[in-house]
Amino acid sequence: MTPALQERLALDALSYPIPARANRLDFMLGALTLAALGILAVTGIVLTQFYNPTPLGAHASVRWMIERSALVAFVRDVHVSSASAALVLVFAHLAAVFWRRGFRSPREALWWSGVLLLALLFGLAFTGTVLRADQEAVEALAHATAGAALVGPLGAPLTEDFAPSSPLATRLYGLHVSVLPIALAALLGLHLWLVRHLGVSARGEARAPFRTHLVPLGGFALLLVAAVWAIALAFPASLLAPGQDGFEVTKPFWPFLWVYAAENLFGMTGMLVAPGLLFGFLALVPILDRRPSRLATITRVAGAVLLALMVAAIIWAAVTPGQSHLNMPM
Amino acid sequence: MANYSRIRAAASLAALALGLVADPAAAHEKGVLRLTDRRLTPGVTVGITGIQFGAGAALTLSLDGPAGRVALGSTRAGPTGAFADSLHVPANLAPGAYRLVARARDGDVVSSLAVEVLAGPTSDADAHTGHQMAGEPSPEPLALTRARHPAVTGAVLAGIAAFLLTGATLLRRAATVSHERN
Repeated sequence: MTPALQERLALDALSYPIPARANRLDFMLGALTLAALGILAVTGIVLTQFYNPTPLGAHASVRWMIERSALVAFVRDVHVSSASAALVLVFAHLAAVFWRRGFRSPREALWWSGVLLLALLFGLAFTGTVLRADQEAVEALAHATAGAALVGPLGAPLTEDFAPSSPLATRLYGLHVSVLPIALAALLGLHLWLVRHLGVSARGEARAPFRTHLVPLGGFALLLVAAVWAIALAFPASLLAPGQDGFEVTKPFWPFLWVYAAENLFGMTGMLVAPGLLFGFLALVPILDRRPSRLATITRVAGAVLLALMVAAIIWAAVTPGQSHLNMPM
Repeated sequence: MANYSRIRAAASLAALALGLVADPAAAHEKGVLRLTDRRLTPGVTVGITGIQFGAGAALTLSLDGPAGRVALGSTRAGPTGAFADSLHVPANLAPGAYRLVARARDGDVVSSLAVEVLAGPTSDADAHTGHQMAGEPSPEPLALTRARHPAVTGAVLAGIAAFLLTGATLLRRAATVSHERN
């Protein structure tokens, strides 16, 4: 790039020093999650042009995409596979930051903004599942509505009665394409601001300009796009029959299988206890692990055990026969 | 006067008996369905409205006719008992006279409307899909014939190759720069 162009685009601002160690893959997982979110945003905008968010029209419009347009079907497949990629990457990022104790002072707010981003990603994954209006979507919505009833007024927005003038499925579409992405963008802005000004928690004195970080990051991001496209091509997203109320015959989208496993074990309260345990623990981590101590060691072990339990629960729920949680026929 | 009292007592008893034996499902409010066009072309989406249903009533819609019962999906009436939605007519639905039927959550018919399904253009893809019958729900994905186009598949494969090559080149360059710095 010519110096003149570099000056006019103020690209010198990208030359600020960062730890040289940050050029490793385990320090790029957050940025790669951001790349997956970028793919989700672009493909999502395309899908809004073909999706019909009315209760009766939703399933037919998804079916139209699959059967009638090779390009739109591929865009949908990429949207679904990049959603999985974003969730895998965000958990890998979370685990890496947790293990190197990147939440310690002064980075507590950075950690908490990340935890909120994780919750928003789960919200986007859930609302995205419901939009298909197939059997899995109807059952996911029935579970969410039953869970909302357990938390009283807090869960009111997830009930049909909250806004009887508009179907719940259509309101969830609004959440998926506007409320949650706007909240995500705002929180991402805060997260990136904090990363820029607090820096990453990498040890070592060696420094390198940030722009050198962009080269391997770009390389990994392109490999991610290639992987997401390849998965979309090899394993296209499926669609079940139009959903019927009052049945439980499906299992949820894989990132929710650990919650499904908790429901298998503890009934409907498991649906609240398991996420409560995860997010409660994540919120407490910067408070419990402030400096080297016995409590810090226990927190680290507890985090590792929690992650292992989540993975085990996902695998168990995937292979075990389906169970009814809402006392509906199977 | 005595006769009048007896008639009134008998009428009260009859009303009481009717109340006891009446089917509770009859409590469903019978609504009215309206379509923007009652001549339905397969593969086309038409507007549908409903009025005079129960407030917040959950309704399941189907087309009952020569092809059996074809599930169309569910909707819900608003607080005034009305709804407005869009209805997609399955692409390969057999032509003929059908009834568009709205059922309450317990399966009771709460409204129906005579419609005619026209013979529509059926694509090669439609021939393999089969419409969704209103049977037991299944966890198995629909056996849909996916739209394919050689240009799309070719472009995707070329894109994957380009992303792989460019990504690998960038990573190699980053490794070289890092090695030189050290």
